[in-house]
Amino acid sequence: MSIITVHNLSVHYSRDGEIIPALRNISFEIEPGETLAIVGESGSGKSTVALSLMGLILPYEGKITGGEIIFDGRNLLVQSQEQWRSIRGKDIAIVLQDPFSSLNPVLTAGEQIAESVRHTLVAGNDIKATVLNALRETLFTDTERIYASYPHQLSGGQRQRVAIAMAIINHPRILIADEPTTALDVTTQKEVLDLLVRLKQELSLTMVFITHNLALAAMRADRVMIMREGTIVESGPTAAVFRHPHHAYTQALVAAVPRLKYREHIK
Amino acid sequence: MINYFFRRLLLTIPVLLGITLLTFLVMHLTPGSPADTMTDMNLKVSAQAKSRLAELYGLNKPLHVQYVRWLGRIVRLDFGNSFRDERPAIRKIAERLPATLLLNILSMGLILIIAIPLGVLAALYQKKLFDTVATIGVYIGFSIPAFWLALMLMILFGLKLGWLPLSGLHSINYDDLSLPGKCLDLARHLVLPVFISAFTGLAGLTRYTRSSMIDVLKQDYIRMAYAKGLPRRRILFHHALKNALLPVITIFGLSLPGLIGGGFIFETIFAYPGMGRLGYDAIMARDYPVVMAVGVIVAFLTLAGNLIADMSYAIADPRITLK
Ligand SMILES: Nc1ncnc2c1ncn2[C@@H]1O[C@H](COP(=O)(O)OP(=O)(O)O)[C@@H](O)[C@H]1O
Ligand SMILES: [Mg+2]
Repeated sequence: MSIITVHNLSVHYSRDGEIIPALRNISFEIEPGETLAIVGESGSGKSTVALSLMGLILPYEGKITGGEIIFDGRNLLVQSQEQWRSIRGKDIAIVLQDPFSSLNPVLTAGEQIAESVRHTLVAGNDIKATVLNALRETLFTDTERIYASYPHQLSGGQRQRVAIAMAIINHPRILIADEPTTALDVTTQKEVLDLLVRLKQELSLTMVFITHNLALAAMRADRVMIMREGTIVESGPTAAVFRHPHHAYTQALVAAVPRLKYREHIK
Repeated sequence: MINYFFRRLLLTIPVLLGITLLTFLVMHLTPGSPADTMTDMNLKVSAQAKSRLAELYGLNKPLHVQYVRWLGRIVRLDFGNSFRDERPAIRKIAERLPATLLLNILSMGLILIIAIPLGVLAALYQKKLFDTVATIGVYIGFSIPAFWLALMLMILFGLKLGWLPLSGLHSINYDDLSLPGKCLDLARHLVLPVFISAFTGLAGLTRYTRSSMIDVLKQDYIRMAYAKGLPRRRILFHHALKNALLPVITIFGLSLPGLIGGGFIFETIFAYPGMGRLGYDAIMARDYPVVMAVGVIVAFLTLAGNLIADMSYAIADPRITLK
């Protein structure tokens, strides 16, 4: 039984009265406990998939024009905002691409993480302890200092770890990581990736890992889903897609990955 | 933080010097000696006043000496005496300043109370009916000349309906009134000037709040706040508004000069006993010590206002303190 089933999902954005189609009738499933990599070039619709899964296509930028997203036996796309709120951050959480814009510059890291649990816990003391614990889980040692820091006082890697702490603090069932390392420099990229892999194991998360880098996907995903221009080109178990890519586009992508890298690490 | 404030304070010193230098030069670069210009064109000025003026400004001394002397006097708030009634210019300002500050603080407060919610709501209902109506409303206020609106409302509420006094700040019998009576009298005099200056000054801040809010609502951290499952109200007021108001603080600081200057024409129409009318009357009467005093004081207050705006910004935005 899949944890999420997406059926014929279509999304378009509108800008200055112009309609921009972003997803055209896509269908896929996410299996519990797996890591699904969504791979595609920039603009192929990866982030739109992620946002759709959380009901976060905001009304002034675009809308979901058709399809269903089935989670826990119910279609998320027909539920109220109130019901969406009860899922967001609790059942499904997300880490966005750019930690320099995904944290609020005028609130401390601690405040921002604490908000995620405010509605699930009661006493103020418990909240802070829970936040410090989440910071420990994301490999901070000086948790008190990070708690009191504003985003501008943190490095890119630290910010992304704060964002991850924010996402995992309620132990969600599904964690979506939308190009979580693209905005970071090479040395911190690996650190953040390893952290995500570790957290996935520890918290037995289902992970949707979005990347434009097929090599990254190859090393960490159970299944890959290749996207292009708002459609799914090909999907399947990582090894199978790598060894026998069916679609010409996938073949080109696979050919572009340095051989050594994926041969050695492929799952 | 303290360090930032201190440096910011130090930075105002050269600006202040510049302002005094400019004020001084403008006075001295007008054709002919200031004493001649002032006295020859004003029959009310006696020969005695003329010689005192020459002495006051040390007009026989080189320009830089004169400037330093003048500076030395204004540091002690000695701007000389008015030509018209021989009273110290600074005293006349001290009498008028409270009225101008009262009017402007009230209308500034009103503008803030109206413009910020209006701008926020317009942003939330972007391109919907509310936004359109609010936009048209503030633009009407922006394009109507304040003096015209003032005259129209004076005719309507003052003459036709007789609900409000026409001008000034107090009724003739003000001194005989009880304390609540005094407050009511003051309030009745202030209604029209405050309303008009707020209504005609609403556009800038409303539009600025609107566009700043629209900008902020597009940011990733707002999406992130939604992703955490926060209620919409908390997202709007805790996450969005805090950020949206940061640039508004700066704009507000920039709009201070207009407010403190106290609109010459505006105060004159209402016969309002403020700085604007004092300056206007002084210019008309070529009462130079008062003109210069008004100029320097207004510039000084403007600078102080900007300083307060900058410091509020520094307090509101945690990113400032690190620099
Ligand atoms: N807020 C938006 N307004 C208008 N168009 C958008 C918006 N966000 C994304 N798009 C467009 O939708 C398409 C898919 O974008 P996205 O899902 O962000 O792709 P990816 O994450 O794969 O780079 C692109 O053509 C992009 O330009
Ligand atoms: Mg993207």
